[in-house]
Amino acid sequence: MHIEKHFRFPLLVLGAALVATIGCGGPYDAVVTGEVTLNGETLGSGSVAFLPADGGPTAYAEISSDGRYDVYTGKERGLSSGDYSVTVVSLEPPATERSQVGGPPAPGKALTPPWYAMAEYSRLKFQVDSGSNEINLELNTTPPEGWQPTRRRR
Amino acid sequence: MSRAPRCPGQRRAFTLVELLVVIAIIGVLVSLLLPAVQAAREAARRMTCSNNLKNLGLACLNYNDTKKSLPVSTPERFHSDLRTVDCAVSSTPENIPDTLPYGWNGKGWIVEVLPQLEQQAAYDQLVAQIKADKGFGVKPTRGLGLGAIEVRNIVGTQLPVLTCPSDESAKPSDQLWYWDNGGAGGIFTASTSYKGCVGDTLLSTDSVPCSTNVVPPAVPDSGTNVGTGSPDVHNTASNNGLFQRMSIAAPITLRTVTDGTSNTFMIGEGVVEQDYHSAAFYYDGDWATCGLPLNYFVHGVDENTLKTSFWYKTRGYKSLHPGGAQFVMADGSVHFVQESIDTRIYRGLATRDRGEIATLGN
Repeated sequence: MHIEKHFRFPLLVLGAALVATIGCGGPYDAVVTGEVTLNGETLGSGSVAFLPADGGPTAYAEISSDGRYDVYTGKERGLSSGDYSVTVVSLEPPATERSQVGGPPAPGKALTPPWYAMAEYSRLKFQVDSGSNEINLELNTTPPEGWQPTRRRR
Repeated sequence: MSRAPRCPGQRRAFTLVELLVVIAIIGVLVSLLLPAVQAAREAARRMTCSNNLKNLGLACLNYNDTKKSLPVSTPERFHSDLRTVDCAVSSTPENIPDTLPYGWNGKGWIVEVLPQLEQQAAYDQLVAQIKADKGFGVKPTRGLGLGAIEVRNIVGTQLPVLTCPSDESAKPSDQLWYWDNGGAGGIFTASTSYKGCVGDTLLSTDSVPCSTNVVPPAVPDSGTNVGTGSPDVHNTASNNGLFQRMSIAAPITLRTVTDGTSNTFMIGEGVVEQDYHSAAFYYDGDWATCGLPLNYFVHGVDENTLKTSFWYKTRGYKSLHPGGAQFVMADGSVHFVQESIDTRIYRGLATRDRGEIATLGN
């Protein structure tokens, strides 16, 4: 029995040190993951942006080939809880490896309808709670009300 | 418990348990110390980086004093887009010559400030080569101007003042855009960790100047067009920041910084392996935009995809320092900007004359 008595204190210290050094995650209190679909089909590429309604940093995510996304703010995973507008843009891969003058190629055509690139038309508004959030982004090709296809701001 | 020696006449040795306890305590102490050591080393690297930014900032301000404009960049070829000067009002053709005295040579602003960085000899050789060749070429056996064989030892040498010590990828590379010889094996060029601020332009999915078909993520505009709006001006001479890759056509002076020099980014940090537009002396390797969120890293794609398909997502400011990135403002002061900065303030700080109320908190 006396061996355990010897061990008790160092084990306690070791445990406390582990908790202190490993910590409990990054600076943001919420994590958002989910799946992106367009007309019910998995969208396997593109970017998602979470734009805060009350100011703050824009959080973002890359959509992976299985249609999942995981939101980052800067280099850190997660974001602050609150209300967000979400935009989604997915482009086809470029047709060529490089442009005619040897530069980067022009990106391919958009796979997502253009209104999903604009916070005020995307209709994707979510409340992000502290902790884990699963938010599936279900896009469709029905234009929002007031949408003008040739709308241009000059 | 008994402390009596088990073998009379012999000195008592440590028991196994006592030894383990001592090792455990030492282990705990080291594990507490190691992160502190790492943090101190990172803090030292950050200080070196901030010193580099300070030197670059002062070099640009000294240049501005003598040449009456911020250092200019010269395109590598004639862009017809150059003539588009003001997207907001109309596409007014600017009086830009079809030819320049020393050709379309791709000379970036960093070449211009080499004398201010105590690199006068390198500057003299580079400029002499540019004046002789009046062009740009990077074939391994034959180059022109900055790519000429005679100056490869200069363009291939990584300058400490252009290198953030936290970024191990900030070294000479033959993979950077326009220096890779069409992917067929190019020549080595030094890279830069520091990028002049073009403003808060968004990048377009099509190459038409002033397109509003901007690339993701669509971040709120610093001006009135929240959520959308800002056209893509990176192909024009009507940018709203302090550096522009075609500024030879319309040099930017500090006089036009009406938002205040302490509220306008001049130069900030990039990460070379996250942005293949990082050739140090080249006009398209030395700028970045605040239209993308700070520290926007593209995760989980291979190098080639990042370079060719995602180049427009890589041209924002970013750094490997924890929590943010450093900038030198137009007044020469260096600041650490938290990556949790409000996007609108961040974009407001990038512009020189849009009249936003944007100041740095720290």
